[in-house]
Amino acid sequence: MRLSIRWRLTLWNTLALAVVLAGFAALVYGLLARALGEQTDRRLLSGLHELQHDQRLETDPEGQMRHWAYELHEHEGIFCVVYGPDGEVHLRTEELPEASVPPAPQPADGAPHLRDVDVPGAGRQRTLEGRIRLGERDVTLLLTAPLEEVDRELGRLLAVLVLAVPLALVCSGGLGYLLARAALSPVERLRRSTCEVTADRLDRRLPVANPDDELGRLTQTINEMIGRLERSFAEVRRFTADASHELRTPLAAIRAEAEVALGGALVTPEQERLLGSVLEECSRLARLTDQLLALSREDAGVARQVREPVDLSALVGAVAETMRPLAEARGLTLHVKGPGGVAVSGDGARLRQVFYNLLDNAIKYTPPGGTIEVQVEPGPRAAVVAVRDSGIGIPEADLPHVFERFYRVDKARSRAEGGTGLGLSIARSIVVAHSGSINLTSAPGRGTTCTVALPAG
Amino acid sequence: MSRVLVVEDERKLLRALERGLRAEGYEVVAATNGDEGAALALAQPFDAVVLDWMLPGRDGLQVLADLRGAGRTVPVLLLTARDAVEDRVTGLDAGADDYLVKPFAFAELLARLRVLMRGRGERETVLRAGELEVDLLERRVLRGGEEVALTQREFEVLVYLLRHKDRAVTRDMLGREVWKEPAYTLTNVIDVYINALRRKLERPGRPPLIRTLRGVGYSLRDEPCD
Repeated sequence: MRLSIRWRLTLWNTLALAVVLAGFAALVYGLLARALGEQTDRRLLSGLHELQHDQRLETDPEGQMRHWAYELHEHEGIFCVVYGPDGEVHLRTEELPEASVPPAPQPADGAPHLRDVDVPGAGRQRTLEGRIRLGERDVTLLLTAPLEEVDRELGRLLAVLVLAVPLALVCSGGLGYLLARAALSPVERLRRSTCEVTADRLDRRLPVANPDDELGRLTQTINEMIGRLERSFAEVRRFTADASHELRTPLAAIRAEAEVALGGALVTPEQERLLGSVLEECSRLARLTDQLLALSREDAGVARQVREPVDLSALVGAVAETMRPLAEARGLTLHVKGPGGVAVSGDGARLRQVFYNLLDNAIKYTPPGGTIEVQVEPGPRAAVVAVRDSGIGIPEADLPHVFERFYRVDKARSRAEGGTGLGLSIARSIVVAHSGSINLTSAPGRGTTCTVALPAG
Repeated sequence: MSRVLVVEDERKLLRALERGLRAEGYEVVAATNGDEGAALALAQPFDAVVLDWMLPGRDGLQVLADLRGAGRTVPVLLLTARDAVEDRVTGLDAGADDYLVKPFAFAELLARLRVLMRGRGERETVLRAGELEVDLLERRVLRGGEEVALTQREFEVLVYLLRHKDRAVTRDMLGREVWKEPAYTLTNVIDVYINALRRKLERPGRPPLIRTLRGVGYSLRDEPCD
């Protein structure tokens, strides 16, 4: 499924903001983590520094060390551990639980060394090892600061970020949607007014609010297109008017001359036959002219758009009743089925033409003894009329072409029946002009079904 | 003798109309353009005017406007090659009494002219042709005194043929006047009705009542009683 531009804009916007916010959150988190880490390190380093420079540790090692342990714990939250030469704990801050004492550091070069240590049961610790002079000896001193507090701070920040970022995204998404809708509403207005410009109202132009913005330019382009359409429609109208005049005028002359001659006093039977034949062809040409012009008007969409409520059941019923004598004269049974009062909106006269043409075909191509069934079915969106015959059917290869102009399945037969080869084309043009659809299915030798669907009125 | 003015720029058509109308007993005055037609129509009395729409000079509608503007109520039959509904409305709005689309059948032109010139006179209620008698009020058909049962449509077709007895009636005329459907739609259906009427009304051994005029249509003969 394709989303509307409105939704796509909102989604992309939100996605972009999500990336930016995530980056920002990571940066803040990282900076705070680093700042807190550095602060801890500074505390540890300054503690070590003071211890290394305390002269009294030489004179009163035990007492002064205890004093420091107390002081560092009380004021800085730092624990001290003094290891003996063999790595055993020589002295430690009393508040430091036994289990939380980090293992003795490896003997090192004596330079202060910062590390993260994970003490089982006591959590993460930041440790600084260094050497101090205690009494007569140099001992290894480990200052350790639990990172519990730091972790808690960072956790709190993370919680805030995790809550705030999605909230910000939702807010910005909503606002973005509203913005996109507001920005696109002129497009929707443009669409609606373009829709109102139909074949009947091509003289209209869309209003251009600002000729220099994007929508203004689009509107101008659409207006130019409507202009071109209007001109080409006018051309079709003029062409059909001219063509009808040019074709009909000579036909009228032939017809009148032949008819008047036929009515003359001294006409031999041979002349009568001849003139009659001329008149027959004249009628055929006249009919063809009529149908071709009607088709070109219908296809160009310049036919008058009549939209009135039409009782399709009654219309189809009346057409069938008119055609019934013809069907019966050919030994066919004609049934009309379906409920009454099925309504569509359209041009009754043109719709009647559709069903006359379909029934005419059904009667032509059904051998005596066959049946023709006309069924009207209402539907929620479209009313459907099916014309079913038990006739000779249409070979599958011909089916896709039967709606084409002058297409004849059986040329000899069709001409003998007096068809022009335009009946189905006209039916389709009229149905399409009514926003409907027309379909043919056929089983050769068993019959043909033509289905017309028209939007419910 | 009725006088008819024919204004038509197509010479062949004009000549055929002139000849045909004269053969029907009309006095025909011909004009080949709008100015001439308007001048004639205003200067002389006519019982009817057959007027082409598309004319050099003043077109048919302008001639019509001149006539109506001068207070002439002479019936005007407009000939045109335009068949769109809008055109028909335009023509009738301009004051034409009737409208015929080319290529029309000459038989239909005659029928329309007769209707236009008869005006709104009284209509008979019983139509007769030979031993056929149709009572329009009681909707009864008698052939030689015997009642013949016809369906509604058969009756209407018969009445139309009787009103134009001894004249040619085209299938288009029947389709338009009886079924009110446009030309060509019902050609085959009309033939079925004509056959039914023949079956019911004609007697073996007698000349046919309804003749087929090839290329034209049908004609109901007013055969003399014997």
